[in-house]
Amino acid sequence: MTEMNLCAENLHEVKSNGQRLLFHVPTSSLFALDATGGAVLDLLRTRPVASAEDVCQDLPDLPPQAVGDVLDEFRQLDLVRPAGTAPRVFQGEADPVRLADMPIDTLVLNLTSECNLACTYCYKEDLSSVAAGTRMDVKVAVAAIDWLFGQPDLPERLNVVFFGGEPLVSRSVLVSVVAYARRRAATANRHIHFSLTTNGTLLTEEVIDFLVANRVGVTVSMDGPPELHDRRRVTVSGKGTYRSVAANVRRLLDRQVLQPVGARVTLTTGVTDVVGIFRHLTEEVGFAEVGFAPATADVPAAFGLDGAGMEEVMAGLEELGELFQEEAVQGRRLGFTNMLQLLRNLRHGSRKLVPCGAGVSMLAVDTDGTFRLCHRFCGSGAGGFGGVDGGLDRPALVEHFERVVHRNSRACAQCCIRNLCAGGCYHESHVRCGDLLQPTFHACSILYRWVNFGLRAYARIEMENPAFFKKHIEPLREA
Amino acid sequence: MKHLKPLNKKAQALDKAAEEGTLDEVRVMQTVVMGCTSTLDPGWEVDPFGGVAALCQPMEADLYGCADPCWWPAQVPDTINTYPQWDGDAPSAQRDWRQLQAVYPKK
Repeated sequence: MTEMNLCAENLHEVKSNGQRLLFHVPTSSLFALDATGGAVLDLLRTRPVASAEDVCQDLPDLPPQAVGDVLDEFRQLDLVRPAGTAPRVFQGEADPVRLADMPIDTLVLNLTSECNLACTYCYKEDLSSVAAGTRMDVKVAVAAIDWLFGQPDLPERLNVVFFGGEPLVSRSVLVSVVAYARRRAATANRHIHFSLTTNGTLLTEEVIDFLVANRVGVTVSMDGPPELHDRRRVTVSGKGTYRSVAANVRRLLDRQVLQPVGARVTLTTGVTDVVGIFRHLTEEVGFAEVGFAPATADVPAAFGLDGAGMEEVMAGLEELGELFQEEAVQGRRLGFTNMLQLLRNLRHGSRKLVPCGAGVSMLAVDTDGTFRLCHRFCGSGAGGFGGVDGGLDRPALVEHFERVVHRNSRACAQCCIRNLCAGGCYHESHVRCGDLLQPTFHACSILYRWVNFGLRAYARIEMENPAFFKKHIEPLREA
Repeated sequence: MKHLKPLNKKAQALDKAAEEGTLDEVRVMQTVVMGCTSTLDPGWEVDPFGGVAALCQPMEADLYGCADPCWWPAQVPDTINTYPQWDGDAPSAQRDWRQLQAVYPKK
């Protein structure tokens, strides 16, 4: 009789409220395992090589028919394979040419590398020197929009994102580009959506009028209550900005009712009270959603979170995640962006071959018109991919994806969250190791912990209030 | 499947495909990724110098640093509030400085 091996690399088990969950790693499917399945799995774990008869013999209490069914199901999912055979290989999964040929639906315009603040933790490479300060000419911006609309397979929905520096420093270009892109969208019969990320200091009545009239999605960088926000989000002279930003945001929130306004929080040393920050920004300031991003760089140690700081952050994210679940089982949605995105990925069973949309569906345009993988690479030493005048350098992009899909990491091949992470952020690797293709190994343990937390949370909500996903998670766009 | 109850959409697709004998098709389904690396935003780094400050040589290099971020209270038009169009024709001060004109208080 055929002997089998357990394919441990294809399954990941998590327990939630006594329920055994089986995360199928190759497809990101999630199953609840029943008692019979659990018994068979436990046995296979202790017997690396076993035939169906061996399993039946070792589990005399189970009907052989049921054991056979479980083994069939395991075989279908590649959880077991004939002993001594190699794992199955699926051809043609990751095609770099196809990836590079995907139409771009999101264009990020880096309007300026200048900013009126001097937040001490800012990552922008092009802001490291004021001498490198550049702005995007309106002609470059218009050429970028022309390029977007000139694509042969123009997507139904297009997004233009304004980034910087501080994009509101370049208001005249912003206003012209929005008007121009609207006209192009109307002619081409496409939906267009605009968004921007701002430090909130320049949200005057006039700017708010513009943002409301054009339904611009706004994300404001705020780090929490004044004592936390003012630690690092400061003006050039070192003054805290909480008072003016909070006042501006409240005026914006009064008016911007058609678009949810979100906050983005950067967690650094001493700024780790996730629940407190969330409560303040949602309940006292009034944001619809709050997303957290830990600063993970280790140089200089003063801002990047060390082990203890990261532990505080993770504990905080999980505490807020617990509150999220309490609300979700009651049918209410807490605007905790990280959790919403994680649950979205788990709901759909996302299986990523590349870590993010950079170069696939999204591109950034630098101030001089050069195409960059994403806005983080603007002003960076890493190479560009053509420009708005000469067009996208597809051969370079194909080469980039060749290297991404063929990067060989033994550590990743064994990792159970490999298809949710796919190697992590290119820019983070670029900054840390000078190689954008090196997986972000320093983030492995936190990502692993967060995904496992998400799997348990997912299973709990699915069991106690499955309607939550249809109403609140499925409509979310991947971001 | 009898012993594995699907909990998410991909698992439902897989379950259905198992009945129809099209498992391999679902196996290779992949997500077209949009947006950032999800799950946990990667976060913001600081540069190796711990900040954004730098010296200002030559003068043209940080001229706009005085005009909008008000890096220094220098005598240049303030492009954030009073003269937003002043540098409209000169995206790069180093290259386009000839386009920059004097401004006069409005009466």
